[in-house]
Amino acid sequence: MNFKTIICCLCFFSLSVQATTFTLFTEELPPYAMKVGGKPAGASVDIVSELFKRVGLNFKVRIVPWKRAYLTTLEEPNACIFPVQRNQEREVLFHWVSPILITQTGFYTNSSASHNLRTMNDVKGLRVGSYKGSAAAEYLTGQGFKMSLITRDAPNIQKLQAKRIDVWAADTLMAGHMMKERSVTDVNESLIYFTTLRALACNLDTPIGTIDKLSTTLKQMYTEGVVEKLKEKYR
Amino acid sequence: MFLSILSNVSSLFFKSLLGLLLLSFSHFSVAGMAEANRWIDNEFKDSTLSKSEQQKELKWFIDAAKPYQGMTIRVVSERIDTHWYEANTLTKAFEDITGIKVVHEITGEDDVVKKISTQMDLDYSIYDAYINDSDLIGTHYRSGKVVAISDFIKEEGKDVTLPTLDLDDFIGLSFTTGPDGKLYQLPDQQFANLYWYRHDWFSRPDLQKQFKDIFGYDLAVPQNWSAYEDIAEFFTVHVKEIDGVKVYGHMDYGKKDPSLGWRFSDAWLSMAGAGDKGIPNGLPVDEWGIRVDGCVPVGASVSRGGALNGPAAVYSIRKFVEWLNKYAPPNSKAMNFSEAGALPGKGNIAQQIFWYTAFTAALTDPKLPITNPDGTPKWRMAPSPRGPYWEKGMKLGYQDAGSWTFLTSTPLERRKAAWLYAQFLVSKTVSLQKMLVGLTPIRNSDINSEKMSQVAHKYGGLIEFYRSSARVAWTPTGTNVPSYPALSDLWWKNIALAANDKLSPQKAMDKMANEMDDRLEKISIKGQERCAPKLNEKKDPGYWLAQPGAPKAKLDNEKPMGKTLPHKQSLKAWD
Repeated sequence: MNFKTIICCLCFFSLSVQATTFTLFTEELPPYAMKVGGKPAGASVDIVSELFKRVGLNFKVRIVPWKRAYLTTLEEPNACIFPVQRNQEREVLFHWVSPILITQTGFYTNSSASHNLRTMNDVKGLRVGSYKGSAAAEYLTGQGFKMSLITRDAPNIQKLQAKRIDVWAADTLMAGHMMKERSVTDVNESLIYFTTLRALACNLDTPIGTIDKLSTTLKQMYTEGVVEKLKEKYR
Repeated sequence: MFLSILSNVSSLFFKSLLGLLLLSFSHFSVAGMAEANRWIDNEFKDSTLSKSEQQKELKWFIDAAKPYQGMTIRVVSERIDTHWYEANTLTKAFEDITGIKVVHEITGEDDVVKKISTQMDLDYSIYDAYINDSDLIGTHYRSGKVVAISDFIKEEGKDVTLPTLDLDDFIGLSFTTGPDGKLYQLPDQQFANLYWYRHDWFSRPDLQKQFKDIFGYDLAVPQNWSAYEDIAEFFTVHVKEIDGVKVYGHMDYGKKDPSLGWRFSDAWLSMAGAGDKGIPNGLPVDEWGIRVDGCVPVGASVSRGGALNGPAAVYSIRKFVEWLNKYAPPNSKAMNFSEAGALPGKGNIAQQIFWYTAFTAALTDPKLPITNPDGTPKWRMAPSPRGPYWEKGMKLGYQDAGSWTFLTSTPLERRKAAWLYAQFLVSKTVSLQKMLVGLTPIRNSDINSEKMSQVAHKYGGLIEFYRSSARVAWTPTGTNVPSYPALSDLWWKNIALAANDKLSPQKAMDKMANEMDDRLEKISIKGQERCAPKLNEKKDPGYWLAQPGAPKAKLDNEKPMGKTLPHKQSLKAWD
């Protein structure tokens, strides 16, 4: 192989890497991910988009149901999913870029209720609402809490107002967004009980070099305060 | 009607007002000695301090906490009974007494490690303090991002350091001290990994006779791996059934899952005898097989002077795979740590070489078939048997020391408030009661207390172990490991290959040792604040195997005669 051939091969290789377009899957999860004017937007969409732009990778964000997003990322190269809670079971299944987001989960109560929630134990015996598949439901069920789960989170606000549940367990940013949208004033944040690191999980065929580059750039974004700034827009 | 509405409205108004007043004043504004006395009388009756000493100690907390009243601090720890007690009960006591609110989050240790690594990596404050396993001491010491507690208590933390903290009373400070002699973490709870067995079955004359007839020595607590193996074979192959139930002489797990890593990084290799002499960890080669020169890691593979793929390490993996295949329940290979952990409680396991004492309370549940009607256990725990490569002066097993860790990225005032909470949780006012709840001792004074003598019979040998000299040979991962988060996944990813017959134990350990060297190199290139790895040049393995100490050459006989001792003697054998 002569010098020119090597250069040609290198150019082709470089072009093919450049030409790769990553599909970044997420689900409708306002204010983390939602469609605004038909286009994907939201705190985590903004953070991930900024990250891929900074690294110089082509990408498109697609909002689809979570199960589909998860299975497609497992099976297809150049696919990633966000924001995913990194845990032991999932650890082996993906390459990870973390944390895209640091989120918190809280207990919300009807402001006329007298529950004094100081620790997680104080919620035992109360009717706790959340939605199916949520990190809050997953964590609390794992700790032996009996949960009242529905398919969407927003109706939990009405359930709390109607005292059909005693406590609503929800992501604080999402809860704040939902209550603001609905002008809810009679629901209180009682106890923020858990912090979660949420990651970008990529198909295992993603080159390690790309994962390393994304991770280093994400760190810079934290250092420069970019992540906090992007998140702030949605508070 | 109107009156009724008015009455309801006024009742609501007053209720709300009362609620507001209660919210405002219920905790920190009434924080003080009345609250302290209430907690002493109701919760902290068992203490090695007298009531007046407890009052004096809590008075100190009340005064020291005044500048931080009304603050909410956030800490995180792993999911064991001790930490649940802290999160649900001791946070309330601390808030009532000091006026500082604490949210004590509970999660898996892997998540704690990810969170502390993230905060260290990003210098972005997530928590005000962590209760993090002391296995990260090598990481913390080298990072330059962890506050040296021994400096902090003399300098900026002096005004918030408990005069009765009594550091000399802690049993685990050697685990949390860096090579520079500074204390980087303060133990909050400790538990060991011991040998567990069905004392009731081992005591049956018919089984004792049957064992002696086959193996030529007594059925009792195995002192070496040969005896453990014989007993495993005895129950699985020869006894087969007890009272109509299929029984097994061994229990373990082999699923490719991060929890498989702890099974090995928690000192399996030193149980076999890999590594050098030295307490708390072998020097220059530790139980991860990493050699250091001074404080600098120089390699894990035998060709670089390490012991990760040496004969002792390979032997330990071979035995793990062999016992799992031959003597454990058939589905245990597909289990992870949590799934496997529940099995001894079901009543068909005769012994387990690798068993965490953090499960002691769970296995004394009177509803279990392994517990007597009076709540005393049918089982016992004892110091683990040792492999043929083990020599006197080496560490043997593993001890977990969940320890308070403070990062430089936490603002000082928040760090000081968190330090007060940390000290409250380990104070002598609280620590004995905490030990009774979680059975995870940290203080000599508690272990040797009259109260623990009274209740020792309930815990199957736990208190006796902690009172014996054996305790010092059970230690966590030490300072040779320069970055626990960057290296620990190699254990489960590679051992799973051997456990599931994808690679031979030798090939799996060769692969792991090379990958460990590569990672050490990577850490070196990235740089560390101090004592970063610097790899030795590769040499013929024969060179290193011919040197004294680890890596040790292959023994001609890896199965000497089995040796056992009665339970009481097994606990005293280390004295």
